Amino acid sequence: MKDYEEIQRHTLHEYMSLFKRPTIVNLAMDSKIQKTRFFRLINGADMRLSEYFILKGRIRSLAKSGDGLEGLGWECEQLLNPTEVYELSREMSRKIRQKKLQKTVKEFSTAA
Amino acid sequence: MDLLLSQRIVLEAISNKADTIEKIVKSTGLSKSMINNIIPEFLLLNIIKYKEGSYVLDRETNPKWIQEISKVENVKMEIKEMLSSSVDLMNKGAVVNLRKIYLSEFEEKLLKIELARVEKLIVDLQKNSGVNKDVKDMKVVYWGYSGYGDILNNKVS
Repeated sequence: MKDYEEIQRHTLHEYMSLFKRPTIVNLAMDSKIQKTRFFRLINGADMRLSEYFILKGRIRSLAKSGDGLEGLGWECEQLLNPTEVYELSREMSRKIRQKKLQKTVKEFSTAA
Repeated sequence: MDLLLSQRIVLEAISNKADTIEKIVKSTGLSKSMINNIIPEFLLLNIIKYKEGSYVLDRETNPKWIQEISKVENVKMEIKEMLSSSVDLMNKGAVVNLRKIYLSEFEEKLLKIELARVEKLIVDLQKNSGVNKDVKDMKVVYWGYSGYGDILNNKVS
């Protein structure tokens, strides 16, 4: 599966999981994307960028994740300049590298 | 290539004549398993080499790594992490003093002279600091000053 297909599938799955009854009618009504179009998306048609942003926006609103890391990350990407975004992502990636290193060491010690 | 602090200290230990895993462990204070996880990456990237039972810095195979880790942005990242960690250690033994003060032109000159003295002292101490000592026993010293407005402008611009 190509990367964008995986992202599309994940986005749709994430969006649909926020509904108790994720019927085409409900999803189309909430997202304002036409029913037939939604049906096609679910069946693998390529998602437009505008549709992706609509769904991402709805996911944020429905999950009330505005204060969470994902919401913050999105806001950072919108508001900060590319250098600031790069610095933030670099700091995050370093923290992850350090954590992974510690995790590997822990697993290694447990196995030994 | 930006090195994590734990990777950097291993390199510093190796450059400081800690040439076996045991010596690196002693010098850095890191666990043996941590060192065993860091060393293979350095070997793969030709940053160090294993020669006659000893680990040494590899300055020949691909010396670009030296420029790479010394890049301004990488050094800045190291300083940021050190300062951030020092601030976290305030009240736990780290001495971090920071004051906001007004300085006249003359007072600023005086401060510069004093800081230059500190710098000279540090450089002299560095010259005399012996090899084969444990890198974990080094002290991290910071000094300097900035304009409050400059710091603010940098943050809000």
